[in-house]
Amino acid sequence: MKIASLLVAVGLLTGVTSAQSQELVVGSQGDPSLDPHYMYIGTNVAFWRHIYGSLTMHDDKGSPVPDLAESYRLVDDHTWEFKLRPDVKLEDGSMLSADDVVYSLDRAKSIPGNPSPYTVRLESITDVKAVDPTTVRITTDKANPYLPGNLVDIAILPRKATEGKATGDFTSQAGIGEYGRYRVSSFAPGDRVVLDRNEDYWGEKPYWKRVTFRVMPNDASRVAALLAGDVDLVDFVPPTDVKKLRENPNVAVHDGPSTRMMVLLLNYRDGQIAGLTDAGGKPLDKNPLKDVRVRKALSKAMDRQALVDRIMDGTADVATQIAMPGMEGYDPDLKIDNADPQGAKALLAEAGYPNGFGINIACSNNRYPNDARICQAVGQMLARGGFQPKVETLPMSVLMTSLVGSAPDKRDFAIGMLGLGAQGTHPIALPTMVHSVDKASGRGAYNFGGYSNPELDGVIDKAVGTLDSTARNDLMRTAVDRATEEVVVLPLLFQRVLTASKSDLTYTTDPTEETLTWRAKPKAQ
Amino acid sequence: MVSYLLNRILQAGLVMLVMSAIVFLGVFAIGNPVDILISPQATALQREEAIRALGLDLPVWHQYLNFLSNLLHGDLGRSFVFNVPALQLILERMPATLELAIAATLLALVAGIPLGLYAGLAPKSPVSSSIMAGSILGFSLPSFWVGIVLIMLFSVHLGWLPSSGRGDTAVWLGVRWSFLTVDGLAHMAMPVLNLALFQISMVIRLTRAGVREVILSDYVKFARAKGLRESRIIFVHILKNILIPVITVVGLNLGTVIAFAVVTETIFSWPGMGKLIIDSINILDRPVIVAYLMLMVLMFVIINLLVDLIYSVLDPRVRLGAR
Amino acid sequence: MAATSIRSIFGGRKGGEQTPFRRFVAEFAASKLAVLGLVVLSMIGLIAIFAPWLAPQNPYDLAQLDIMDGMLEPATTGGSGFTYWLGTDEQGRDMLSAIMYGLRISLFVGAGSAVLAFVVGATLGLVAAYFGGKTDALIMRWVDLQLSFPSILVALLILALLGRGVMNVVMALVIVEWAYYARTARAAALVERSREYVEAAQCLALPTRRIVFRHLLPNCLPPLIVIATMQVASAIALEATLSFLGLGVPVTEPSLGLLISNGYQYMLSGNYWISFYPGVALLVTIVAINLVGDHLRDVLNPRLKS
Repeated sequence: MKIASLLVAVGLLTGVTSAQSQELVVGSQGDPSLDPHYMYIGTNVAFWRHIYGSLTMHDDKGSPVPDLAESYRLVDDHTWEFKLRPDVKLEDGSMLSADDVVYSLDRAKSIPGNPSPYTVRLESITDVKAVDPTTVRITTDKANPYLPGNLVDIAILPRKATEGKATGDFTSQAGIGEYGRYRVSSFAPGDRVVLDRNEDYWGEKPYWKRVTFRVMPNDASRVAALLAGDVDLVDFVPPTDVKKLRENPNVAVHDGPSTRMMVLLLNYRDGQIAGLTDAGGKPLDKNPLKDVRVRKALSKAMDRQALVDRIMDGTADVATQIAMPGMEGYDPDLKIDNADPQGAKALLAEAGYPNGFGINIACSNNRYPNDARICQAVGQMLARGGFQPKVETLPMSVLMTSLVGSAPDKRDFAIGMLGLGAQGTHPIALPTMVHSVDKASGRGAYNFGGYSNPELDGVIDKAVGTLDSTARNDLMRTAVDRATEEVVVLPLLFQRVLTASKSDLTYTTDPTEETLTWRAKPKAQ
Repeated sequence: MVSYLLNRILQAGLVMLVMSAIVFLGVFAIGNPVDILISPQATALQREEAIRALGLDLPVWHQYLNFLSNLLHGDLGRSFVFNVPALQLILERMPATLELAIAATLLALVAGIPLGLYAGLAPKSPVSSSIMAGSILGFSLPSFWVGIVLIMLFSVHLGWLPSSGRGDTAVWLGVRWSFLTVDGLAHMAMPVLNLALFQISMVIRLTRAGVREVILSDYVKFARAKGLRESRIIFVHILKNILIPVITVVGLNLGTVIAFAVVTETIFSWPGMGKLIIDSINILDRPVIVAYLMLMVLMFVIINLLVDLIYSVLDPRVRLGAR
Repeated sequence: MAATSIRSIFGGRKGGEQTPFRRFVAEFAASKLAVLGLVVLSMIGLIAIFAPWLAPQNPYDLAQLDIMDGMLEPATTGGSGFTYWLGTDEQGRDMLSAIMYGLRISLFVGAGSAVLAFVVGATLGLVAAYFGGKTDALIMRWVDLQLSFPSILVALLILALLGRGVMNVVMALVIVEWAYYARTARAAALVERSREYVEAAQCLALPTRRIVFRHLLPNCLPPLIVIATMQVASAIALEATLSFLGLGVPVTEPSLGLLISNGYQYMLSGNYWISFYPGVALLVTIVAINLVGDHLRDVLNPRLKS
C-alpha cells in the first residue's frame, strides 16, 4: 500500500509544471545534435535556434527578415552585403563580429563525414569577406535572389569558443559559446536536453526560464505524455489523434500550414519497367506514363479532398499545384477538378488502355504522417479510375534505394510518393523534381523519373536567377502552370504543422515545422 | 578447462568477424544514409560529395578492408549520424538497457517460479488454470500494444506512473542509473513489466512443465516414501531439478531481452541501446549497427558460455567439450 | 501441422504397439479443455480456409474499399448500404472480413514458420549435441550469431533484397527462430546423450540417423513442444511487431498483427474497434493453440506416464 501511495505522489509531482515556475517541458520527436553545422535536418535547426542565431530569420510566412544582421542589401548582381547588429553579446563578454560570420560559413562547409551537410544552403557562394567588424560581403558565382533566405538555416558560431572543436566535442556541456536565447544546462543524448535562459540575450527575452526537450520519437508516447501531464507541449502530433485532442478540455491543439507537400513522382524512363505491367504481370514494352493523357487520367482518378477529409482527418490542405498559397509562382486561378473516375477511364481508353494496366505505387511507411495510409487510399482511387494498382509501403531507406536505383536506367518504380518540404519561399519542386537532371547546374536531383522538358527547364533556370521579385514571380507562375498542364508530378496535399500543449498555453506554429519554444506563452488570465 | 575457454574465445572472435562481414554486405545492399538524410535541395554534386566523405563511394570489399584495418587499432568507426565513435555511442546507452533487461529478468524469476511451481503442484485447481490462462496473455499480445494500454491505464487515466523516459538518475560506478532513485523506479515500473511479460509467461510454463515431470520421477517418489517433509521435497528435490531448463531459457533470454528491448524502449522513450539500434537501422547508420551487433555476439557467446558452465556444475552428466 | 508431424514421429516409434493412435486419441480426449481448444482451433482453421467464401467483402480488392466508408463504428451501415458489423478502418475496410482474411495469413505465418524453424532448429541442435566437438562448436556459434542478430534487421534485409511478401516474412521468422529450437534441443539432448538407452543403441551399432531421430529426438520433445506451442504464438506476435515497425506483410493484405498495429495508432483517439476485435481474434486463436499444445505435450511426454 505504501509503495502504491508513494507512486501516486511521484506521479502527481511529475505532473506539476506550470506557467508560474516558467519552466517548459517539450516532448520532442527529434534527438538534437549540439553541433549546429552537423546534420541538416529540421529538428536540428529548430534546436540550435534556441542557443545560437543566424544572419537572417524567416517570419511566420517563410520570408527572410533580419536577425543577427540588422540589414542587408545587394551591392551588385553578384554581391550581397550584410550589416551586423552591434549588440550581440557573446558568452565571453565580447561582441559578435564579421569574422565570426566568415568562420561560421566556412565551418558549415567543412564538417567531415556529414551525411546531410548544410552546404545545400551555401550553394553558389564563392567568397565571404569581412569588410569591417560589422560588415560582411558575400559574393556568388551567379545572381542568387535566394541568398538571404538560404542563410536563415546557417548558424553563426563564435570563432573563439568553438574553433577547432569537432562535432564530438559539442556533446560536452561546457564551452560551446551559446549566445542565443538559451544556454545548455545539461545534455543526455537520446534522453533530454535542458536549457537555461540566457539573461544576456540581445533581443526580446523568452518567457520560459528553463526549457527541457525530452526526446520521444514514438508518436503515441508523445501524445500520451501530454495527456498524462508529463510534458507541457508536444510537436508532430499524429493527425489521427487531433480530433480527440481537440475535444479534450485540458489540451489545446495549435495547427498551421506546412510547406511539406505530399507528391507522386512518375517514372518517365524508356523501356520495360517492372512497376508497369499488363494484366498478366508482364512488363509493358512502352511506358504509358509518357502519354500525357494517361497522366491526366491519374490526376482525374485522385480524390484529393477525400484524402484530406478521411485519411488526414482534415489536418491537411488540398494541393492544387506544386506551389502553396503565398509562395512565389502560386497561381490562384488553378483549380483541381473533382475526382472523376469515369473521366479517368475514358482518358485511359483514348490513350489505348481500355482495360488499364498494372501500376506499382511505392511509398514510405515510417517517414511522413499517415504515409502508408495515403498510399493505400491512392491505390483505392486508382483502382476505381480503371488502373490495376499494386501498393507497396516500405521503410524510407528501402524506398529511397528503389527510387534512386543502381543506375538511372535501372529504376523500376512506376509511382513513388515523397514529402517535399520547401525551406524557403519558392516551390522547390520546380528546380529539384521538374527540372531535367543536370549535373552542371545541380538541378533535378530529385527528378528520379527522368522527366525532361527543355522549354520548362529554360523558364526555371531563368526564374531562379532573376533578382527582381515581380519578374521572378511571373516566371515561376509560368513554370507552375506548365508543370500542372503537363502533369509532370501529382501534388496531393500540403500537410499542416500540428502541435499540442496544455490548454493554458498558446503557441504559433511555423510552416518549416520547426518547434520554437519562445512562441509558446501562457494564456493571458 | 583453460584450453576449453581459450577455444570458446577464439570461436567468439571468428563469429564476430563473420557477423561484421554479413552486416557490412547486408547494409550495403539496402542503401546508404545520404539518400535518406540529405536535403532534397542538394545538388547531385553535393550528394556525391557527402557519399564520398563517408567513404561510401568505394567498392564494398574496400570499405570492409578499411573497417578491418581500423578494427586492428581498436577503432569500430564513427557513427554516420552522430559523428562520434560508434562504440562510445553504444556504451553510453548500454546501462539504461542493462538495468531494464536485468530488472525484467529478475521480475520474471521472482514472479514466474512461484506461480509455475504452484500450477505444477496443483494442476487441477482453478487458481492454476487462471495462472496458465494469464500466462498465455503474456506472449500472445504484441508488446507494443500492451505497452500503450499500460500507458493509457496507469499514466493517462489513473495518473499513477509517469508515461515515459528515465526520470531522475543517480550516479553509481560512474554511470547514471534509474533504479537508485524513487522517481527513476517509478519510471522503470511500466517498461520493466512490459518487457518482462513474455518472460514471466515463459518461466511459468517451463517451471510448471518441469514440476509435472519431476514430481513423477523415482527420486521424488522415493523422497516421499522416506517421509521427507513436503517443503523439503519441493524446495530441494523438485526445484533443484527444474532449475536447469529455467536457467537455460532465462540465461538465453537475458540476451534476447536486451536485443528485443527495441519495442519497449521505443514506446516508453527509454534512452537505451534498443532505441539507438532501431534508429540506426532505419537510417542505415552502418558503423553503429556493426559495432552493436559485434557487442551482442560477444554478449551471447559469454552468456552461452556461462550457461554451459553452470550446467556442468548443476548436472555432472553434462561433459564440457566432450569428444 | 505441428501436431501431425509429432504424431507421426511417435506413431513410428511406437509402431510395434497395439493401435497406438487410438490410445493417443483416448488420452487426448481425457481433457475436456483440450478438446474444446481443438474444436475452437478447427473452427478458426475452417474460417481461415474458407474466408473468401464467408467474408462479406474482399478486403484485398482495393476497388471494393471506399474511404468514404472509413472509420465507421461497429454495426454502422455505410454509404453503399452495406452494414459493417465490426466497423471499418480508415480505408473503409470491413473489419469482419479483414479479420477472416487476416486469420489466414497469421495462421500461415505462425504455423509455417514454427514448423520450419522446429525442423531446422531441432535437427541442428540434436546433431550438435550428438556429435559434439567441432560440429557442435560450428553449429552453436552459428546459433550465437543468429540469436544476436535482431529480427528487425533480418526482416529489413529480406525486404530490401527480396521484396515484400508473406513467404518472405515466414523466411525472416524462421531465420530468427530456428536458433531457439537448436539451443533447447541441444540442451535437452546433452543430458539424454549420456543416458543408458543411447549407449545401448550405440552398442547395438544402430545407424546414427536412427539413434538421433528415433531415440534422442522423442526424449527431447517435451521442452521442444513447450517452445513450439509458444513459438507459434510468438511468431504471430513477432509478425505483428514487424508490421508495427513497417517490415511485415504487405499493407493491402493485412494479417491480424498488421490490423492490430494499424489500430494501435488509433488507440488514443478512441477508435478502439480497429485493434480490439483483431486482438480478440488473435487471443482466442493463441489460447486455443496453447490448450491443445499443453495437453499434447502432457500426453506425448514419456516421462509423465506412470
